[in-house]
Amino acid sequence: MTTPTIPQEPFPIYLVSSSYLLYDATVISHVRRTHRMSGCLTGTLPQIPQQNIFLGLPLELMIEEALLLVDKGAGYIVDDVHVHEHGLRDMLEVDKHQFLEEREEGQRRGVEEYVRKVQEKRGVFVQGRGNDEGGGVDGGGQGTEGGRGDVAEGETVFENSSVSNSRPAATTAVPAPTAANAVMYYPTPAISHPIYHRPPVPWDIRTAPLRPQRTQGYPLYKHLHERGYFLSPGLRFGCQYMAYPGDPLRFHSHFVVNGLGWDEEIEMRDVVGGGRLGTGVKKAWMIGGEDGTGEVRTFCVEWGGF
Amino acid sequence: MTSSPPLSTTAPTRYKKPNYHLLHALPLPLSVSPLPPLIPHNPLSLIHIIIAYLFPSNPSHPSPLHRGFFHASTRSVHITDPETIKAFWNHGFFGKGNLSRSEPTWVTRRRRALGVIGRDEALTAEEVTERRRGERKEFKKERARLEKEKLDRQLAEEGKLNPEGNEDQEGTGSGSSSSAARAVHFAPLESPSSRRRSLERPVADVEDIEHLQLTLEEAFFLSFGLGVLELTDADTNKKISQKDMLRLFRGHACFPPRDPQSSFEPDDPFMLSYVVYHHFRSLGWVVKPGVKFAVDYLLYNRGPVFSHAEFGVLILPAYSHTHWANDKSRKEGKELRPWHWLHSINRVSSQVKKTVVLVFVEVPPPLDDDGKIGVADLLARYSVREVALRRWLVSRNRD
Repeated sequence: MTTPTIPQEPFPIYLVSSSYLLYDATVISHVRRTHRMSGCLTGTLPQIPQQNIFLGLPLELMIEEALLLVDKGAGYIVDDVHVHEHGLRDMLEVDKHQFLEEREEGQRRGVEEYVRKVQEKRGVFVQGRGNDEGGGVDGGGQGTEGGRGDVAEGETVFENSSVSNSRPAATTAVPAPTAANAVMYYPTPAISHPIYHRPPVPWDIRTAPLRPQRTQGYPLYKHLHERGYFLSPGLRFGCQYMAYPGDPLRFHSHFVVNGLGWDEEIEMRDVVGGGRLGTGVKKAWMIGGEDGTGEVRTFCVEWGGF
Repeated sequence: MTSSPPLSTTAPTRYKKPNYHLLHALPLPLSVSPLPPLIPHNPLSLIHIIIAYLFPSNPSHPSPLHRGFFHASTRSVHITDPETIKAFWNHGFFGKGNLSRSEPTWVTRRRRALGVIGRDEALTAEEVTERRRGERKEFKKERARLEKEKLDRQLAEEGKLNPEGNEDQEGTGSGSSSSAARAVHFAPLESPSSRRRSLERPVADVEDIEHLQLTLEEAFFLSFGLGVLELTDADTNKKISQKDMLRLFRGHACFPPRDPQSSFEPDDPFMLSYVVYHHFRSLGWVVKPGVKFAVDYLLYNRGPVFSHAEFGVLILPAYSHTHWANDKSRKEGKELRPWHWLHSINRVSSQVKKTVVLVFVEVPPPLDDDGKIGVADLLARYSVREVALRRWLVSRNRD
């Protein structure tokens, strides 16, 4: 198992039309691992926008999660639209060139690395096959014989390196790929490159340009989060948050949580509904809020059934 | 007792029910008689109709009117006269017994507990539920026992169970007879009422101390809408006129109660809920309070004894009149509800197989002097819109 890569903190949280998004898979796994936030994967495939079960990047954070990350100093908010427009427009020509060159250089290094790896693999593969043929199992014939040891079996950078099916074509002389003549590809990176924004330096919450709005449920969210609960949005379950005792992939949730104001009136009808809601799915319905002194208190309601 | 009870014999026992169709034939506590038929070629039949219309053989309203007592302490109207209780419950399912779940049946249960009536005589809804739950519990116990037995047998066949420990449990018989042998140990569970009855002490008949409680909306409907109820204030023992009744109920619908002489907003809780109550009652539904399912009202097709409630009603004020256009506190405070609230209500309702109906009551602008306007005119200013809401699942709602 590889050790997880830990992204540099603070990482950017992108604000796009009032939702807080994370695009980087390493940041997402880091947030889940160390900050106990699972968020919501929201990306669909452009071809199948109706599918809503297996979603991918980006990950949308609840407003409370974004606020807590900012408060901890683990992340900072980037207003994506604004920064994108202004960041690109305000870039100096020199910087732009430098960036492009850097990117070119990076790409080239990547391709070289790739070609090197492929060749290494090829060497191992051919050697292995040579041993097999020595055993007389493979009657592959003359064609490959000549090509043995030759690492250039008509492959491009992104072609499948397995050549067993393309054997007849293998004899045609194709120049060996090198970094120089390999076709340069520019795959769109999954991670947006922070060329147009930088983390605020020195990091200070008070000078943070953007802060998510504090919601009514935030004190309760923070209170439960500090006690080790994973909280996920509970809209489809009829509450504000679902509280899981650990990672939601491993545990069922224990509480159906609603954050309220301390003096907020709550209807009897809604207490009954909450009790039914929680008990119907073997959970406890929890309400809570911050009292005047800044302490958070929580209350649970369950169906009695006398 | 000796034979093995297979699962099929533990199927729920059906108790004999009274004939509800006869008992609850009238939908409202009014007696109506049809007019004589109109025969076109016989002009005299018209005279029959006119006579029957002007001088009905039996009056539609009871005389004297039913009497109820308004109690400010319980914010409800109490009916103590047994005839009135019967009329209101049997014809329209108004109110609830204060010692019962719904129909006032306390005296029957008490009499059974004291051994005045037989064990299976005139079963009440509460007792039927209790027995059904008991049977269900027994059934589950029995099922668990059979499953365990099957497992034990399987283990014994595979030789994984200690044979000695198995011997004295199973005896000599095969699997089926062993279950028969063991079934003897499971005596039927004695219910507390039957245990008490077995003491067989002679008792005098029970005095009925239960009364029928009407909600304020029900009382107002019976009094204003049907005109069969006359209200007396229990504290002052004075009759309450219809005009005062509305003010009194509007004052008592909020907590703490407000002075009936104060001026009321057009969206006070009583007006909103009464408008909805009257609306559905006049469309023929039996409307009962729905707090146990987290809605405002439950709508029964004919009545709770016939079928389960089909709909749950949520009352929501709507401020679309131009008068409220700038009223931020109303529009945001009462009109806007969080999404998760709606989802929770909808989930709870679909758990009990009911459909949520959102009922929007259009709140009219306040009147300068609402003392002048009559009750009917006041109510006519409100209008009601219904929106039915249900969870729709692609995979389950296909056919």
